[in-house]
Amino acid sequence: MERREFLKLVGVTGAGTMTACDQKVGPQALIPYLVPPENVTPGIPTWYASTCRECPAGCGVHVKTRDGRVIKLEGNPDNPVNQGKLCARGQMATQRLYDPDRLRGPRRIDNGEQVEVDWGAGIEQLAEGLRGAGIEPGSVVLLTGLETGTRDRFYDEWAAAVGAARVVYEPFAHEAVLEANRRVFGRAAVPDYDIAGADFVISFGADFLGTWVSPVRYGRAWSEMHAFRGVESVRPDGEGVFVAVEPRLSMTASNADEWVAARPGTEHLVALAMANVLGAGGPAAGWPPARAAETTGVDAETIEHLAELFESKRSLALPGGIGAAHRGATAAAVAVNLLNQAGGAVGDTVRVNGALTGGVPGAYRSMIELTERMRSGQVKALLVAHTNPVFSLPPGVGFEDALDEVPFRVSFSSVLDETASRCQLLLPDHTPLESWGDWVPEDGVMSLIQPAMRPVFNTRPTPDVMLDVGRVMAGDGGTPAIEAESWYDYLRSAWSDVAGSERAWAEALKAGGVWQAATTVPTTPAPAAADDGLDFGPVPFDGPEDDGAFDLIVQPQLAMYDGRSANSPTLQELADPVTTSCWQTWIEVHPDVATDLGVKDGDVVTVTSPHGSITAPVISYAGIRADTVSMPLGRGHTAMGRFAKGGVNPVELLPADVEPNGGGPIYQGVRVTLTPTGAWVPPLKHQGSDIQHDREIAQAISMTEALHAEPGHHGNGHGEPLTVERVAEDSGAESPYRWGMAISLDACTGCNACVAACAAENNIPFVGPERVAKSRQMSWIRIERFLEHEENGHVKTRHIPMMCQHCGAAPCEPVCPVYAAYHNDEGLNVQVYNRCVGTRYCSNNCPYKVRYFNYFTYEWPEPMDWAINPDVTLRQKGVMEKCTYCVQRINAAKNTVRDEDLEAVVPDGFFQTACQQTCPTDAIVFGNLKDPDSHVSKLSRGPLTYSVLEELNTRPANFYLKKVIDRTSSDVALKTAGSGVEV
Amino acid sequence: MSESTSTVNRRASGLAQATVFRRVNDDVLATLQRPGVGWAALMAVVLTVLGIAIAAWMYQIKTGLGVAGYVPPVMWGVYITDFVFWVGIAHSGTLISAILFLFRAQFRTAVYRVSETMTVFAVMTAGLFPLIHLGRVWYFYYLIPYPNERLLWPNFRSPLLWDFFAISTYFTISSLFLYLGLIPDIAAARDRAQPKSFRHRLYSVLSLGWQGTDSQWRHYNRAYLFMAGLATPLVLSVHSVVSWDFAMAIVPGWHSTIFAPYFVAGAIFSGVAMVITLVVPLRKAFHLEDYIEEYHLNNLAKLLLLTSLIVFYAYLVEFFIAWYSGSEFEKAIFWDRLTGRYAWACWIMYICNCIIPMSLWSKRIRTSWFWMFVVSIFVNIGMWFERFSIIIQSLAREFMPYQWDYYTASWVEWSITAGSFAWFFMWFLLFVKFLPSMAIAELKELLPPKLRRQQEELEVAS
Amino acid sequence: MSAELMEGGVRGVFLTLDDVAAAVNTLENEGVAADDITVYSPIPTPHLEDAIDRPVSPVRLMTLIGGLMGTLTGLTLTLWTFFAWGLQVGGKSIASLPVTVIIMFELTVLLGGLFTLAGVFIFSRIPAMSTKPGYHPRFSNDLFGVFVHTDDDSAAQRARSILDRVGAEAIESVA
Repeated sequence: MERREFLKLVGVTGAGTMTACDQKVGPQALIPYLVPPENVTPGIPTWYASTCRECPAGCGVHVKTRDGRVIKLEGNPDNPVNQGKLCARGQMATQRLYDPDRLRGPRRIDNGEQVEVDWGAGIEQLAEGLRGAGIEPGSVVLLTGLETGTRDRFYDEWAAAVGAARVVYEPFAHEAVLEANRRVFGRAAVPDYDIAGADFVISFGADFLGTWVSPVRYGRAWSEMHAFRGVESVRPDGEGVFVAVEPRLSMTASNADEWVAARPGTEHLVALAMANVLGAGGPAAGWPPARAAETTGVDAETIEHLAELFESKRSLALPGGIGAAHRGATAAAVAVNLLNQAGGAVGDTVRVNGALTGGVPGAYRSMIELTERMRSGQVKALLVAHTNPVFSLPPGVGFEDALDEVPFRVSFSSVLDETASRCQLLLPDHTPLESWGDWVPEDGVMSLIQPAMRPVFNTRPTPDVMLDVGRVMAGDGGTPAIEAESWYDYLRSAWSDVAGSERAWAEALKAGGVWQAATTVPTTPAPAAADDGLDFGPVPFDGPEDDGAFDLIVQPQLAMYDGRSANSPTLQELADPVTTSCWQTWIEVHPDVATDLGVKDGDVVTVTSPHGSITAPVISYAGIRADTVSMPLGRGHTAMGRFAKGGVNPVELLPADVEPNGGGPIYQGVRVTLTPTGAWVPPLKHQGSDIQHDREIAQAISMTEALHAEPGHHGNGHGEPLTVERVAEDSGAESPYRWGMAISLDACTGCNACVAACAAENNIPFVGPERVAKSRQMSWIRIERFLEHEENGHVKTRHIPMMCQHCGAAPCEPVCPVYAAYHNDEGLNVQVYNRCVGTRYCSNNCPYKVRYFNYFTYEWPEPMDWAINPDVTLRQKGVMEKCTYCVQRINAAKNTVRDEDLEAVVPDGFFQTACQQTCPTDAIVFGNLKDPDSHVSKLSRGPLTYSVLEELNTRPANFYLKKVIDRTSSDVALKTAGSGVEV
Repeated sequence: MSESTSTVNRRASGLAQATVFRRVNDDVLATLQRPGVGWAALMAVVLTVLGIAIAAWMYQIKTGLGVAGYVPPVMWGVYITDFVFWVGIAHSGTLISAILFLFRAQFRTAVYRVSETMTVFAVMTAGLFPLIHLGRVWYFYYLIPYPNERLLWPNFRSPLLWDFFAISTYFTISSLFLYLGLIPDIAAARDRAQPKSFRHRLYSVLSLGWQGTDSQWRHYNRAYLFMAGLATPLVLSVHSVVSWDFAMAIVPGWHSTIFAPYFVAGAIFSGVAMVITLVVPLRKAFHLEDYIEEYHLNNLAKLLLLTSLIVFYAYLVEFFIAWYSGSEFEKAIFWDRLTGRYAWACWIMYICNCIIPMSLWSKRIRTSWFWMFVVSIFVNIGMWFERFSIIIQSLAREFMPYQWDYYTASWVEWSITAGSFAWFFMWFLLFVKFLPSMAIAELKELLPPKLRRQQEELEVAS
Repeated sequence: MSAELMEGGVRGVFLTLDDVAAAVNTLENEGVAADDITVYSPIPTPHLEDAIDRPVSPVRLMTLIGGLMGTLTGLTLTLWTFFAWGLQVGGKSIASLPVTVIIMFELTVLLGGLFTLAGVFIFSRIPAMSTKPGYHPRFSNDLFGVFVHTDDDSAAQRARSILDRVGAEAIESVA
């Protein structure tokens, strides 16, 4: 680390936390502690409530800082959106803050060369450019990503003031859903879907547990509806049922009780046919189940059965996702709305009040228009903030080329992404963790964004830059565009009516925002003909019709979303919940197709659509229709940083045309042909074998059995009924603790949030693709996902989080020649890094294979290492490591309790492990097994509980609750004819 | 009376008996003449390979163990394979010298010196690999039980620690045993060497002033007997302990009670093969045809055949037990061993260890120097792959399907493996040039006790 | 006090084993003390041991002592370590006997061997810096030798005559 960096760092420790609420701290802050600030105790973290901006969902977070540095994010329990939970990308926001490839200050780009400028010069140049752009309307364009709340208003005001047109672009803006809701409910918003309240949820392509609108919030709700929490928790009319209608078994669909593999672009016809069965008129009248069956490949029986379920239960149908991103998207969304209406869900589980703000009507269309204006030279100056259209738009749109027609281009992006690298002036904004702001994820929820640390680099809040520009342009004596001293003052005054007084403001900051009951929004009653000019027929896909071609599905990838997270190495290395692959863009094909093409995992094929052609390695996946292939979005960057380079960008295959009604993009709209290139690359799959080989690792039980299961038949029948006494043997007699964990496979969705949380908490390094190819990834916790092939050809998925089981009779311990692995008094299986000499015998002897070896000394590039958690030892090359049950948190908790009373025992739920804390569905419960009343202890003795590989008698402290299957208790078995998933 | 001695008699006929003793000295000590070009060339090759290996190891220590090909869950690879291989080689040495000594099997005399040295050098080689494969070799001494300020004492429960004791004991005892046998012969070399020459001084020191007085011989014989007595159980124990590195683990394919006898048999098997591999060229190079004969070869071959059958049996038992245990994991492992991605290694091992040695039922092959050399090479290869498939294939498909993967060794591992052979042959080359590679005194002991009566008969005859 | 430590005496060189045996017996019958006789032989043959009756070598005692010490060390080392650490591994008891047996065995063999070798060294007076005058290089090669230590000429004379009688190839006095 250079000296200057060091001084800055010292300054940060000195003044960071103390002054985080005040951006105007001079150089005098660059002095080490003389009098330590009273709100900073060395070794004790300081927390700031803020809001996550990794996606439009806007979850509330508590930012953990140590000595003025952000080291971790955790969900804000008070925030109604995520209620304390966070997804994998939220957990990794630190890696965007500490991105080593971030722009470190304002830059000018002269013919490709970056030239450092100071802010004054930068602002001068911006003002120049704006003056030069002239004043005719639309000559200046402010292009931003989705913004809500004050910043959104500020951009509008400023744009108006400088006579600029504002365009908002978001790759996943849910245009079709908004349009459909405007038509049906009279409001262009994503309604408040009450998933938790419903007993039967059917999704038509919405990946709501992974990437759609507000995954954490929906994940939580879904678990409330669906996760089996014991007999007493079951609702009067049975536990909830979830059915997914989509051509590919996405992560969300993999948690469904039934996967109905309709042909791509026909999902909504299943909805129409269901509505038809429920007696709906309008478009539904034309689609009796029989007719729908032919088109969709889902047979009529299934449709009727689904309709029955929908009618008999309190139901909810979800539009969107891949089911509403094709040429008939609006029609599809309308169809689902009609089903909701016919089933009486509207107003009940579908509420237009309290709607979510995540969405931009006609966003994609407006980009097409903008590109047109740019091409025709009407746009003289383009200001881009927080969006990356060059990467996200199909090349066919021609946005990148059109940029050349714009004489003056400015980017406010904090990273040098594809769009920024095409601009002449770079005025990097703070990252959200360094900025002030607010976010309104839904009606009535106003979350605050506050800086958790001083800016890492020489960046500046874009609104402040705009204010300065306003002043400069106003010139001496002139009145600036917006009367505000600074962006902070602007925000503060914007909040005056909500939190006017200093006290109220402080309270709001402390809570992370202000949540009010959703105000009733007046909605125009549904127009008679919501279906005007909508074609409900099967959706046209361009490309060859012959059997050699496949419908292409392009969907956002869990870790990458729209690609904004691509420079986070940990997210790059996160196993995809569907393929467990990482670091690259793959193409999923059905195993039969792979056989026909004569390709195996990793064989590179050329994917050719009418609009372009790219190459990608094949990964065969039984969970996709044989006539369909699928590629994940978000990778294949050409700029943005060292970690973002991997993979290809599937938008190059996509058509440029607009969905006529909603004005959205066409992610599902082409047929592609695959031609093997003969090349092979490692598939980079975390998982070795996709099936369990009858080893009963992830076990399941039918709902009927679950309701009558007796405690005692522990696990697979090999074991004895578990008693507290028996558990007590596994820890020191005098110790009050035997730490343990209970994990509900029925609640686990495989979202990998725990994996990211563990990485952030325990300083788990990323190893990079070439080492993942050798299975050397270090993640202490992993989601094993097993495919279950059923007789009737169905493919079901089971997710099981796997980490160190802290066995009472641990096979890894006795084989260590130097006592590096031993069993401590509290029943923890301890690994002493300093003692380890690296024989790796323990790993050979661990049946769960949850010990990870440091083949090299792994490091984080500066400043990414600022996120290192000082409470957790860093490991050197040559030592073994593994899950510690977050022993640092255990000890912290014990200390806190001991401060009160030396004899006291840590009460149940006093603290949480990192994985448990972030799990959106509360699948993980941690606690003291010796306390018979603790939650985990009760679960460990429950009827659905088992231990993995129990016959080895390793006496694990990890207990698993079986997944509950066969919920659609009905003689009408759901069939997915022609889904091509027979195996 | 053995064939060998009778030949010596035949060649002695007509000469004064005294010269027979002298001939033994002459012939054996002739091997100690100043090294020739061939020897130097071999040495050069060996040292080059060794140099590369050392460089590779340094690179591995500096960069981290990742430069080896390890692919979790395969945490042990070629290094441990080499380790077990060399420990195996080390076995027949003490077997031939100690056990056959106790059984008074006279054919041992001609070859036991070679096999003993082989033992010592093989252990020296094997002992390197536990270090090479350590993640943090610079802390290897954590395994040594000695009072230290770290208060760090080893865990005697770990089979690795048993290894540590077994290997170091075996090395010490077999070195002492070798040296004990050498003392009278070094004395002989001393008495022949040019007084004041380097060799004379060297041998004077090494022979410890041995004079072969009656009392010296008395103690010597006792000691030799007891050393043999101690070494015999040791031979059997060492490889049992090594096998427990695996048998004590729960890994399917490792966790098996037959491993101790199975590994001991395998060790003797590979050891005898290596003896043949070494003796055949040695005999040619130093014209020891009169001392090492078909008779010896034949006996070694029989030993090879016997152990091959035992090993074959062990293989079959493994499969039977896997089926009989009813354990899904065991069954899966052994089925995969035959049919899975590592099947090639497994089949190499069956062909080299079970099929090819069956040719030894034919006496013509047993007594053919060329064919025995070829067979012994195959056995060496086969035994290496036996360890390879036991260690790596079992790990590659353990309990958790999620972790199944495929391991291939890296160039670092291969060069270090090659280096281990270089290291072994470096010592062996030095040995044949500086120490008598056959037991002079014992060879002479095999001659008929020289008696005056014979003497007179001979004089009459002449 | 054994012969080869003394200077001065008569050495007879023999070609054959029975002559040596005969010589030794005759010498002893003629009243030469066994301690004054040293036989040099190129081979470790039992015939000589039969010819000259000497007590059984005490080396075996050394082996025994060494072995027992090893056993004891193994036991104490392992047990002490177990209890000194008192660490629980694999849900097993702190101390484990089968384990101690292995270490005990190894150390028994190790110390047993070391003591045996030490025995040889001590009892057969090696390492010796140089060979004694009674020795001749060919005694490691093809000749046997009988050395009789004599204090005075008369004794020397007697020895010479005896050696001559039993047919020594060569007889010479060494001092």
